[in-house]
Amino acid sequence: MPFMKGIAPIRRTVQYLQSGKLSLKDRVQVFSVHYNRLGENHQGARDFVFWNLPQVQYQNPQVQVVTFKNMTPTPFIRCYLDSGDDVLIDVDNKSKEEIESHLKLVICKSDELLAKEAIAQEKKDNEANFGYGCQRHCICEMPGQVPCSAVCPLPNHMRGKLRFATD
Amino acid sequence: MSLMRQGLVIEKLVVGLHRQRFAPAAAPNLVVRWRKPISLGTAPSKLFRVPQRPQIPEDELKEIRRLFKNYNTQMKSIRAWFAEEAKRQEAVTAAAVAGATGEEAEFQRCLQINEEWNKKVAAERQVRLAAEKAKLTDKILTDLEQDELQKSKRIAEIQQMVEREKDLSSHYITEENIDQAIEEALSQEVNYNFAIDREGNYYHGFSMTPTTSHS
Repeated sequence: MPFMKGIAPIRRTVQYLQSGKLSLKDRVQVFSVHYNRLGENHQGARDFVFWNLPQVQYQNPQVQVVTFKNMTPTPFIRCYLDSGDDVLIDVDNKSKEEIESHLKLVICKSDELLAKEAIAQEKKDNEANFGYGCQRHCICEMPGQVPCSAVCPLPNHMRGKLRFATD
Repeated sequence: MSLMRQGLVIEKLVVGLHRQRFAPAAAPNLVVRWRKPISLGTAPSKLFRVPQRPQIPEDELKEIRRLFKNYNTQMKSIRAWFAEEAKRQEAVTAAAVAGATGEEAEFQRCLQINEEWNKKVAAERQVRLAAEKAKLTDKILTDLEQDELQKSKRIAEIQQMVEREKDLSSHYITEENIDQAIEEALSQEVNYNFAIDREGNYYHGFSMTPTTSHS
């Protein structure tokens, strides 16, 4: 009984997907690859689609990644931007590594930008916050704060129903 | 009395079956415990009720309408102005941010790099296609030549066959000379008592002297 099905199931592991290097620019909305099933000059594009496209989609969940097979004499990649323009990248007779490095240069976020974004992300996740979606549900969980009133009742002078009772 | 009681019970059952809770759309969190079922019909005391329409004098109505129209127009215009102002502000700040980070310039540079790459790839492709075309033309010409060669060979073979048959046709047995052929065959005696060596020499009977002929 096989553990993971498919031709190269490592492509479906989280570690492999997270190690993808192509983080597309924010302005890219659609990433389309055109290639053929046969042809020496399409081999690089085929390899790129087989090995790297899952990583691209994982790193850019908001981008539509689509492939078109057997519709073109030469392989190419076309990225559609949010302004309506498109970027045409000719990958005829190029290897998968060449394609990947060129895409990183042309249509991906630079390493400095990615580092800046990572720092900004860390700052947003303030550990002192509590409530829904945070690490702590209530402030009463912290030592030094007023304990949970469900566990330990508040003193009478802090309870509104006893302070403002008229009878 | 028992009938009445029965009637009351039936009514209660009927009423019980129709017991529902309604919340008016205007106050969706309000839940009413009891509403008279529609199937029961309106009560006799309420059957011919005619709600009193408010009687407002014509001129007062006109004044009220005018005031309301003015108010609504002004509110609409203020709201529209605010929306436009917000949009304008957003565009300005977005442009400022984009300009400050220099993203657009960076992107133009990337596009330039891509253009050069595309040109290079196109040039390489032209070279490759030209080479492939030359190879293909060569192959086609050689194939044509081979074809011609094969054809001529075949024709020569056929010619040879025809010649051979022409030569042999003089020895054919036809209807005219079939009687003669039969007589000849019967009169001729073929002696199979011979041996043959590697050079093709026949040794007839028991002799040790070879002859090259069959008979």
